[in-house]
Amino acid sequence: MNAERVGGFFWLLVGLASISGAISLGVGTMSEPDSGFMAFVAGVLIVVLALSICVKSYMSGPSERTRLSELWSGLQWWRPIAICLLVLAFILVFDWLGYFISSLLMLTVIMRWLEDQSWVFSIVVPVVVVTATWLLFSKVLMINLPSGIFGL
Amino acid sequence: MDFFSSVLHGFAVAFEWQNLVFCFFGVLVGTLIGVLPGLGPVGTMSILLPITYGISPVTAIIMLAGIYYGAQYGGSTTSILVGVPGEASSVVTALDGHQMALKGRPGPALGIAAFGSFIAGTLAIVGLMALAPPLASVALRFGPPEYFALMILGLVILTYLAQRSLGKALLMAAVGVVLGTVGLDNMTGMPRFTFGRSELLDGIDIAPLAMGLFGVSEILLNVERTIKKGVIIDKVKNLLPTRKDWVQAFFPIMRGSLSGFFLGILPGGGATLSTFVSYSVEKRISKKPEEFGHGAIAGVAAPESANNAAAQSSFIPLLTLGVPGNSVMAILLGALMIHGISPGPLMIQQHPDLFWGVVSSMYVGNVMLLLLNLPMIGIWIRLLRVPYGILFPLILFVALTGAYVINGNEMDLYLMLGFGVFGYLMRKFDYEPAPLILAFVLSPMLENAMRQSLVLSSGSLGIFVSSYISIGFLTMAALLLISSAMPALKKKRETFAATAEEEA
Repeated sequence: MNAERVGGFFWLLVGLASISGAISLGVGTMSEPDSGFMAFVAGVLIVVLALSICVKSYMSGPSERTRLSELWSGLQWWRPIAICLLVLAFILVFDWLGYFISSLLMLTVIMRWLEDQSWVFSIVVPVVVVTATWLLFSKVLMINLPSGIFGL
Repeated sequence: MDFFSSVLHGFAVAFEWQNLVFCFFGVLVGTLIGVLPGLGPVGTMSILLPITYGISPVTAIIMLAGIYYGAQYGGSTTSILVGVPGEASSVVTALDGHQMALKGRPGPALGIAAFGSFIAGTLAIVGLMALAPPLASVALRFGPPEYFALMILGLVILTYLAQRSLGKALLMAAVGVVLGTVGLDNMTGMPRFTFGRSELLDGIDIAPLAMGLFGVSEILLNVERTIKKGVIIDKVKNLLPTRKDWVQAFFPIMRGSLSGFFLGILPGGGATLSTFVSYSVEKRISKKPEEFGHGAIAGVAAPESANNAAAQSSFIPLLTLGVPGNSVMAILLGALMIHGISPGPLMIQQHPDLFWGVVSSMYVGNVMLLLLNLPMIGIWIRLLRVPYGILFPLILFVALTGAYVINGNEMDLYLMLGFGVFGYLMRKFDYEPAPLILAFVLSPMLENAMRQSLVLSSGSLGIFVSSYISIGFLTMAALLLISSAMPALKKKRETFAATAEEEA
């Protein structure tokens, strides 16, 4: 699949969504622009530019085309996915386990399994960093951080 | 207050103890992230934005500004010693700086980069002090149509200069405008694109957006590849350049400072562009152009001076017109707005502490940077050896903490992750985030200026060409867009951008 074309069609959808949202907000008139006016103008611009990207992707020669799979070829593509899933897990358990424990777990998992650091290193560094940050925000700056089921 | 008493007042503000401490913290962090490849000033400034909530706006801006110009200093260290630029604005420095290091002269290369940066920074601050107040009085004559035209010009210049594909850059700017409309319409009070979430009524916060687009996406891109490290030159002696070095570098420093200063003022211009321009100028006028790329000291002195001068002068459009010229300034604008300050022509009169204090602190910061970068070079060299695998989890953790503490809601964490993934995919598909963030910040101002102008003119678009100032801005924007469509110029622009990308 041509990467440019995929990008072009994605933005086409974004532009159309913006136009549709703007219309439902009310575009108004030229002399009395309403809440959706700006999003409408920007949406039209997005659609025009996205269409030009799509058209170009059909007109470009085979040498100029980049296939979607080429964007990740030769790269460790699973690592960004793993990090995103870990961060997502961190956010999901954030309230339940609290800031301290969930941060500690996330950092240890990344350092031990993703980065292959030693157990000692993967525990000591997160403990030091998370404790320092927790003390700074929670005790010095008096910002409320979730304490979770362990009350930490 | 006359000019000299204003300057004195500025120094009095800059020398207040908390401002000195935060200025030092800013330039220290700036040098740190400049040295380490993988996290730029925009990402760092957005991550540290929450810290500024609890301090005065003057102190906050002093610290954030320090990160920006500190990164220009730090970036050169990695460029020279490793041959891999720490920052986009140090790409050119790597060409001759690393060659000098390989030939056994890393000390003078680092020395001339630091001294050149110091001299250029100092000259640019003097220029900034002299130029900003008169420019602000001119800007007092600006009405909504002039502001609208100026913001359009800024967006067009940024998209024209920084991108390989103008269409994609403009598209990003349009997406930024749409994102900027999220939240309550400040004219009618109507909620827009909030999907029923009360957390979005105030709009998307700049911190999770910038942290996601610049910080998280950079991490995601870096972890899928092994960051290449060249030969690290770790024995550095004789940092002071010789008399011969000074003779060869003096005029390049002066020319670099001048071109950097003026390119920095341009909305959309900035430090990176100025390094390329000053390097090409030096190579063109040199009697020995063949030495460039093989360790010419002028090839280090000129771009390093230019990027520092540009870093300082790029504050001019923000502080005098209230219009950020690049994404770093967009973050600073966000920080000012958090503190309830709208930068613009009246800011110098209304907040003299802020303007003169911040500008004077840059001078203090430059002295700190000189001391940080030369005698303490050994520490930075050791830091270069810390593996990215240890650094990035910590950066990610600080970013997540920062995103949460701003408003204390989980929505900002989801937004940051979402924009991180979005930014990662955008860069994969060759879309740059800089026009998006600039348009996002400008969006409310752009919308107000546009709607007010149309209401004033009863819907006539003629209002945008009703004064010489707005005609001038819009003509320049139009000329840039037209010229980018001309085959010869288009090729030149694309070659320029591609070179920058390859070198990076």
